[in-house]
Amino acid sequence: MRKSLILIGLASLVLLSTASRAEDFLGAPVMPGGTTVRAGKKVLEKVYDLPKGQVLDYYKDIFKDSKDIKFRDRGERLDIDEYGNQPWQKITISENEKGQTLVVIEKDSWTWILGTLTIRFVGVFVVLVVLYGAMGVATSLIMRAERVPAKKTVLAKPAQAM
Amino acid sequence: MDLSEVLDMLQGIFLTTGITQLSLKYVLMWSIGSLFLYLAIRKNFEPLLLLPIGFGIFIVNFPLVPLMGHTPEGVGQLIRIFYHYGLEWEVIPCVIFLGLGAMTDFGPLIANPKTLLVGAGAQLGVFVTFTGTVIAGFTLKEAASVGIIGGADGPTTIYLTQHLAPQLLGANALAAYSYMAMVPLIQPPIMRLLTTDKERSIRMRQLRKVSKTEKILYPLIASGVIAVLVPSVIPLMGMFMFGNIMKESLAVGRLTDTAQNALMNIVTIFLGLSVGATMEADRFLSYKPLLIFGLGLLDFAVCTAGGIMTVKVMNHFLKEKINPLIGSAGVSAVPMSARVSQVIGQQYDKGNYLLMHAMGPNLAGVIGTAAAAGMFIAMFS
Repeated sequence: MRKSLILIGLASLVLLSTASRAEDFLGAPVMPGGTTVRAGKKVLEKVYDLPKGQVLDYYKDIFKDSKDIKFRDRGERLDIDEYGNQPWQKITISENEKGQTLVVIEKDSWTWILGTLTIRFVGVFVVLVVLYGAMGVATSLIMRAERVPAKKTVLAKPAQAM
Repeated sequence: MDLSEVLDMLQGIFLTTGITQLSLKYVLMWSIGSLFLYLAIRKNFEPLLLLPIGFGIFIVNFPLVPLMGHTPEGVGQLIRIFYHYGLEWEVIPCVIFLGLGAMTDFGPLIANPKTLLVGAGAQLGVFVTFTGTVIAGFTLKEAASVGIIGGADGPTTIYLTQHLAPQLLGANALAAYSYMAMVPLIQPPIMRLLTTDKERSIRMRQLRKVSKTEKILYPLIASGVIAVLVPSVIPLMGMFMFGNIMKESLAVGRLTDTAQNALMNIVTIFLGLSVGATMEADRFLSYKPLLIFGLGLLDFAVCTAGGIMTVKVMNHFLKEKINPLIGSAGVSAVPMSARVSQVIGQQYDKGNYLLMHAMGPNLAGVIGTAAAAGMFIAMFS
């Protein structure tokens, strides 16, 4: 029992020391170890012989105090989105067919950017269409309400004449 | 007192002046400040804003001036205090909107609510520029704040920039107000390019008279809809509609008068000076402000085109056609862009009066830009 506790302690120390020497890509932390599959100016792809959960724990720990980071579970993959002013935008963690964990760090996620912009542009139309509808309803109600007293006045005139 | 003591004293005095620390970067900033002063005074381009901005740029770009920094005790210096309470706390843009609301007549928009769609279509540039800005190397939050410039709405630009990328406040505000002032130069070529002679000569039916009840109800309906759908911009739009209901109710003449004049003038002074003062040489002299100015121009052009194209699409479905020249007024810039529609329209048909028709999309543009800003705030929260 003691031996295993000592081993766990040593392993944690090793893990901590590697984390403190962690590299970064565009300001995004890169988990030490692993093999680089693709490295460009705007994207870094690495593969790790580790379970997905362990890689995820590493990033969860690193980002535990960051308020501009969001973890999104997409089923087969997990996205970590950055909404602050960092140069990187997305880290994608997924598992390949060999059981390895694939980590992709991207500067700009264009699918996300274009998707969200389109939806939000449509959103502006929706806001104004709802306002259009609400105005239409209000106008017709006001016009109807204003027409009723007008009719009453017309009906009242012959009575006055009598 | 001997000569060396006198010299020591003189040297001490000399070192407390800024002379020793003057450099070329300051000279550059003085010329930028002077340019804005020139545009405001001689060319009458948005003088109420460009003059305080220009002077703010000028006065803050001297070494050792205690204006935008903090005292050793951590207390803000004069303009830093204006900036902190006015802009960092997002008070001034909202108070400006209160004044604008108190000056606005929503009649043309209520009479022809279809034009609300034009205000939405004119936000195209905001979203297109976002992508361009990301490609240019800005972060997502910065891109959103630069994108909103095309909406041609100064207070909304300041509000969103302060929210998302305060480091770009000076450049963004300056670009927004400069391009608003240049609407009569930027829009006409795009309007001519995208419309035919026949379209430019379309005459629109005179707008119906809008009742007082409708005018009083409109700010309530609009603020209710916005509060439900894009609550993040309700500080802006709520104040806008509050100013408007004060005006339309005719019940609080004194308050309306204060909001339209005294209050508006006071906050405009603090806004202009604070925005100008954010442009210290060390921050401003980089590639980013230049890119912001370039992207802002593209933004404006695409927003103008977006408004015109929206009208053209709408005309396919409408029995009574809309003159596409009023589409360009979908960028806010109230009432400058509506006036441009009127001027261009009359070049092709002297008896065609488009001004009141163009006020509809113009006001819709204010709401559309605020909605777009709300979408961006929601995107990052």
